[in-house]
Amino acid sequence: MKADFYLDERAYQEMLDACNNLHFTEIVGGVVDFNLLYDDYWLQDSAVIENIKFAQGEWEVYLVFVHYKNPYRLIKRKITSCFCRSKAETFAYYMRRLAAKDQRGTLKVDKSLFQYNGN
Amino acid sequence: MVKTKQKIIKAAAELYNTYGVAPVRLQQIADLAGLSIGNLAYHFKNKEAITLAVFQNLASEVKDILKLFRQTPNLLDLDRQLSEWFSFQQQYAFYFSDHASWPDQELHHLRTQSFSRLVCQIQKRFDFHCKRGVIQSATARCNYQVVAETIGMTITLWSSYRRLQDKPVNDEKEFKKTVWNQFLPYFTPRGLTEYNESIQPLFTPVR
Repeated sequence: MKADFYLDERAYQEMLDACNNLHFTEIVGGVVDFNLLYDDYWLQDSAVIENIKFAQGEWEVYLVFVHYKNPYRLIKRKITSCFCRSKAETFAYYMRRLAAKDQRGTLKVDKSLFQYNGN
Repeated sequence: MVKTKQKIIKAAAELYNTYGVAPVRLQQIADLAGLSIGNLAYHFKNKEAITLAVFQNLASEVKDILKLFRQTPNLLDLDRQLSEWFSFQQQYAFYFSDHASWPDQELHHLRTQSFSRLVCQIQKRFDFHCKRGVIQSATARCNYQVVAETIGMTITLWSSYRRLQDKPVNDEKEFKKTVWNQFLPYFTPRGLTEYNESIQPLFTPVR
């Protein structure tokens, strides 16, 4: 016969402690939690550029989000990694189309806005 | 439809509660269940088997009551669990008071475990309400482990004690008052307010 599941005294106490702590850790959210909406608002007007690089035997797919008027405002996120370059390219293409505001890619970054000085 | 086995278990529990486990005979169980002795013997080979089934049933009921721990973050949560303990005591007082009739070592272990879990739950309730600021924090002089043990004893042995005194055992308010009274000295002013608002009205008669 299969023995009943048995929780020893210490484990039971820890379980009750965890149950108690839930009340203090799971608190109701406040207005401050909505700050991310304002903080990340600029991402709405960003050009998305795919970036593939080979690292540690895998093709890593990154997406770079650049604000189209102020290109110094950017973030780069790793999306996935593949063993095959063509697969990574396909991934990057579709992920870019998913992430970009305009799927046709008309939102572009002007190089001159970087004001890069070669001297 | 109630199965015959359940009928026998229910009848046995009722008799055990009235007379204790040892003095009850199979004939009495059969009579109360409305069966013949032969039919009783078909379902359970002897009294030990019936007792084992009764205690197994009770152990699972106790588990269900223990599961009610901390479903809401206020004092009413304990009050709800106390109601369950009270109705359990009313039906099966022998579960905690009858020490001689344990049919099985495993079940005996289950009972001691359920008592220690009850005490553990009370202690954790103290911890929780301390954090909420409803109960004073523990000091060297006030050790909540000992208080929890005392409250556990009250919860499990209240009806046996009342029977010893020839007092009525079916007064739920009296039972709850006895238990809550043991919490009272440890409440903070905020705790007292909460107690007066949520628990005290339960004891006053509705006009």
